[in-house]
Parts: sequence; structure tokens; C-alpha cells
Amino acid sequence: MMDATQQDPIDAAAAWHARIDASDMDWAGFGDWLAADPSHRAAYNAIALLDAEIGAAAPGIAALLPANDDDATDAAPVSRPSRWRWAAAGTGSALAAGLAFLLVGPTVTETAQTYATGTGDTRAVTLADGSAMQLDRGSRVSVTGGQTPAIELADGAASFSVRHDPSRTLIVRAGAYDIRDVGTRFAVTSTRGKVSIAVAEGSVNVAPHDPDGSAPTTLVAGQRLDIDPSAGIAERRSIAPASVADWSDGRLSYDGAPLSLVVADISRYASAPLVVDPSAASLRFSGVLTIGDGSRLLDQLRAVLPLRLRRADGVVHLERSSRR
Amino acid sequence: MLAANRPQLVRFFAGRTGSLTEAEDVVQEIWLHIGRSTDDPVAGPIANPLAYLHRIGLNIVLDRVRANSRRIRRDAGYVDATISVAGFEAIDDAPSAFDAVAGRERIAQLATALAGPPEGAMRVFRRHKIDGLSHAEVAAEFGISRSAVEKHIAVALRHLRKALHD
Repeated sequence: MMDATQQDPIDAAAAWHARIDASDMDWAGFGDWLAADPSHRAAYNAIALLDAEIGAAAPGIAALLPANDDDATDAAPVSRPSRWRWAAAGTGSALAAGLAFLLVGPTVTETAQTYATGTGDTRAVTLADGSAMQLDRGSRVSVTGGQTPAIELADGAASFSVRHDPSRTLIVRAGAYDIRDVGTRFAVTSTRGKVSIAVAEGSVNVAPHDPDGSAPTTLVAGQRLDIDPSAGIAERRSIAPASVADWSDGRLSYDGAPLSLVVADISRYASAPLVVDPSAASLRFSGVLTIGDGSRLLDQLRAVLPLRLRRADGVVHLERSSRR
Repeated sequence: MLAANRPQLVRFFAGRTGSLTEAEDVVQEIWLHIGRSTDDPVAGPIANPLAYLHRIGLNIVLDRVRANSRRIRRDAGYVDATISVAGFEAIDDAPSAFDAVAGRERIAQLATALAGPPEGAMRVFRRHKIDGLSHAEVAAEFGISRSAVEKHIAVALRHLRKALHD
């Protein structure tokens, strides 16, 4: 395909990288080129990392680029919503994330940007205002707006590191609640209406999205709020700030957490829906679970709690067992 | 499917990583990835399985490269102690992703480079990478071949690397 021996490794690396989506990509030739010299590997690392970085920062970059700066855009016969493709050698496990996104469906409009991860992938996104968002596996988030992003966590978990700027507030919507923030680090989980917010630094305000007369709740660093509207529960507890978003370290740690909360987290990594039966609803869990590939999480729980699993119609029910 | 392609994949990733042992690890991780996907609706039909396996593996290697360089930076003390809040440092994906101000500056830097020369190649690159069109879609829009799109993208990457590295 190319005369690899004559080229600057960076030039050759860029040429190979530009072809990895091509149907007739010469993988064996690419492998031979990489193996030929350590400088080739280093050059390819540089190109692939840069490309992944640009992919992750695409929304922020787009906000800074002049709108419609391409004549081709104006000349395009059919205007179409722009959508992001992450499948092409993006960050981390972006390939699978991209597949997940394509299959989740075209929920993206001109103004909303959807990010989704599969059960095997996490994703880091730099928002237009410079804030950073990390998506856990099995999560979906849509972002609208540029300098003042509004974020909706449709499902799953995400952590945020927000640049302090008194002139604007970042709002994360999760379930029926809005979390307002002016510069902090926190994590949000949303699963079928249940919402958890944990703060590592600074503070956030939490209020129902549709005002119901209740005063906003302020959470400060080292606090966690778990809300289960269907059960009428809102529990505030103290946590170690370091445990916020510990899923990003491959762990889930709990201190007396209701089983439903633990199961909501585990659901993000499970291949089948999980349901806590009423018989097990009163169980609480303290300890650390190792996420791994997700398949061992239930076993780890069962090693500690009196639980029995029952599969029915593709759903796994967690019931209380008589053992113990 | 993986078993039949295993020797080819190990060979490729030995080249990619420079280590046969690491290549075996990567291929194992690819296998885990695929295995997890079989009962997962996300897997879907895949047009070109061999290319798919290679690309999954490339992403796995890139994650490892990133994790290594992060560790090296950290060991060298380049990471400011104030951002070493456990649970956040480890999820830092892009350089300085959690140093919001630096992240902002970096985005501005990337945007400037992407708006710079060479004009034609950058237009193609932006349409693909920033606006999210596939190579085929960009080719149709600009009225050029897919191979020309690849060449433009390679040229753009090369210039971006040089503009941002110096």
C-alpha cells in the first residue's frame, strides 16, 4: 500500500490509521510495519492518541469552530442532524460504545448530543465549557447547550468535574430531579427512577425537576443522597469522598446500602435485567464489590447476603434465601 | 471465529505492542469482549469480523498505552497533588481531562489547529471527526473517492501532530 521504509514514521502511521475503517485494510501489512521498528509503534501511539483525544473533545471543539465554515455543508442537498460517530478508533473502547450508540438509535437532534456506553465500556467526554464527564458502563447521557450545558442522565452513572464559574450553573437532570452545581466533583446514578448523588468536592443543590414546594437539598463533600421516589425514600449518608465514582476504579463500595441501590449499580454491568423481590428488599450490604467483567458481581453479593437467584422470562429475580 | 483468527491476531498485536506476551493478553481481552457480546443485543451483525476484532484490539492497546503514560506522569510527579482525589485521577482519560482549565485550553488549541492549514485536508477531517460523517458520506459530499478521503485524513493527522507537538 505504501513505501513504508522511505517515510517519516509519523506520516506512515497517519496513513495506516486513516485506513483502519476501510473494508480492504491490509491488517497484515500494518502489523508488519508496526513490528519493523520500535519508532513505528511510538509514532502510531502518537497519532492514535491524538485522534482519540480529538474524538473525545469533539463537542467542545465544535463549539469553538465557526459554524458552517464548510461550503460543502451549505451545498449539501439534504440538511441532516449532525451526529457523532465514535466507532472510528475513538477513545478507549469507543468501538463498542459506538456500536451501542448506533443501535440505541438516532436520538440526536441538532442541539442534543447523546453519549451511550455498552456493558463493557466507559467513556470520558470533555464538555464545551471545559467540564469533564466520565460515563460508566451501561449508561446514557444527552447534552444540550454549549457554554452552559444541560445534561440529562437517562440511565446509568456519570461523574462530573465542573469548572468553577460563578456566572453559570451546570444542571444535571436525573430521573425527576435536577442537580445544580457551580464548580465541584460529584457523581450521579439514575436507574428506573431511583437517583443517587455523591459529592467528592464542593457542594450541589438537589431539587425535583417539577417544583413540588419542597426546599432544595444541599449536599456537601462527603455526602451521598439516595432517592427512591416510588418508595418515598430519600436517605442522606456520610461517605468517604474518595469513594465517589469508585466504579471508575473497577470497584463498588457500600456502607449499609439498601440492596435495591446495590442492584441498581450492578444492573449497569449485567446482561439481564435484575429485580429485587420484596422478600429481599430489607437486606443491606456493606463491603466492596469488584466489577471485573460484571459477570461475578452477583456471586460476590451472594457470598455475603442470604440471596437466591431465580431466572424467569429473561429476568433475574433476587430472593431472600432461608440459609444463614 | 476468534480461534480461527487467533494466530493472525497474535501476530498483529505482537507488532502493535512489541511483546508476544502482551499480544496474548490483548487477544484474550478481545475474546472476553466478544464473549460478553454474544448474549448482548449490542453485538449486532458485524459486516467484517476480522476488521472488527483488530479494531477492538487496537482500542484495548490504546487504553493500555494511556494507562501507562498516566502512571509514568504520576510517578514522575507531574500530576499536581491537588487533583489526586482518589476516584477521579484514575478516570482521567484524555490528558488533563480533570484539570478543567487545562482541558479548556487544550480544546482551544485543538480547535485552532483544526481550523488551520492545510485547508482541504482539514475540511475533510473536520467533517469526519467533528461532524461525525463516515468516510463514505464525506466522499459523497465532496465528490471524491473514499481513498482520497483517507489520504486527506492522513495528511490532516500528520499536520495536527506537528502543529500540536512543537
